[in-house]
Amino acid sequence: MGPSGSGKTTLMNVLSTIDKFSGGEVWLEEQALLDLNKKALRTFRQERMGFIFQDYNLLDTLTIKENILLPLSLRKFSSDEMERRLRPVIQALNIEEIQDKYPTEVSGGQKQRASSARAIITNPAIVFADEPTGALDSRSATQLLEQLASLNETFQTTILMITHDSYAASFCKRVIFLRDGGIVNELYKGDQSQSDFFDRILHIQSAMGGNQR
Amino acid sequence: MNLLNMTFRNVQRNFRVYTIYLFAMITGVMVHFTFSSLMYNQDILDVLNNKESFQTGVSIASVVIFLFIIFFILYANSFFMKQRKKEFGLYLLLGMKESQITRMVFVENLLIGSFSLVIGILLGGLLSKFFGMALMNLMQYDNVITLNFPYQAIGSTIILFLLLAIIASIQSFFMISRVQLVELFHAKEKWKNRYLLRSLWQLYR
Repeated sequence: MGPSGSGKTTLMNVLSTIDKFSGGEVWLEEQALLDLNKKALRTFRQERMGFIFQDYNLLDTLTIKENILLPLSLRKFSSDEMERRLRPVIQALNIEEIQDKYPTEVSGGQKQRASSARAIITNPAIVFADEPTGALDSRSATQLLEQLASLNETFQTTILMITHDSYAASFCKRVIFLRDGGIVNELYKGDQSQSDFFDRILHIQSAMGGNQR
Repeated sequence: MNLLNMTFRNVQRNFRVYTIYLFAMITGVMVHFTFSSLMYNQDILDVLNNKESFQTGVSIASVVIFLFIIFFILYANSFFMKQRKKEFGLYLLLGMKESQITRMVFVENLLIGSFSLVIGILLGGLLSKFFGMALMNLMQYDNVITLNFPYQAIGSTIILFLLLAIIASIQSFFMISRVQLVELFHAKEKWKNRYLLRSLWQLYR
């Protein structure tokens, strides 16, 4: 986390290989991503990465279920296999009853849960989430964050979340503070309770100058 | 669900977004067909002494009109593609190839194209009857112009619009290749430069 302009989004774009950079290396699953050509990178991104966006990026022409399955249908999975993968994910995210609706018919929180399902259904090594709670009210945000945390437990998928909200950050296991393009601090949750962790994050923030939004 | 299914779904569910493009296509077909069916209209040809110069005149006019239509449709298409930038970015991010997306857009163009051909030819036929009547009136003949659809006119319209669908798809391919994945992360698209279509679009919404 970090204030506006600290380079959070740029860092994520670089890590997820959708932006180019002039120096340094990115390694994921013992693979240096810079060594891959465009085609291999496309496959790698398709198979090992998931994305959650602030404004969901669901396709309005498809139902929630079809949206979630889109990454699999583009890879030509059989429909049995798709159903088999769909069930645990939509159960964990509690969107079973809206799976046949269209994105325009459901709430923001439900849309974001659907897009989280889409990110996780390919069973990726890492999920990138850019301000996933940015457009949600606090109740849906809390619900989403709890579910992301439990997805992280059950599916053992790393989730890299960008946020400027300390409360959202307190759901994480590790928080890295950025400022003006550099890492300025780092916290691990360890065994503390969430509210203790939240207090520590707030403390670091005020020590950093506290001009957060 | 495969690519073709998705294409049909796109056209079906996204009709609102497609309307401006569809409108441009229908207008194009209509205007073009009006002129080319005048050129081949048997009733007019029968009364004229100087068929060749009439046909050259009208065909020059229809070439000029077709050039306008090309610009009109390429403009509408580029607006339409800009609207869908995020959608394409998402396909790319999920591992679709640029060529696959282009194929999808091409099939969409064909679908929209054939729909507007039917509508446009029907409307153009009507319009050409009125133009023919006006023409006869101006030249002070009192022959009756029947409503007809010369097959040469239909053929040339279909060929030209197939060509147009191909040109528009090539344009789309270049636009799709230029899509930056980074844009997916920018909340809400920014509008620029397209004042006319933008205001039309806002009115329409």
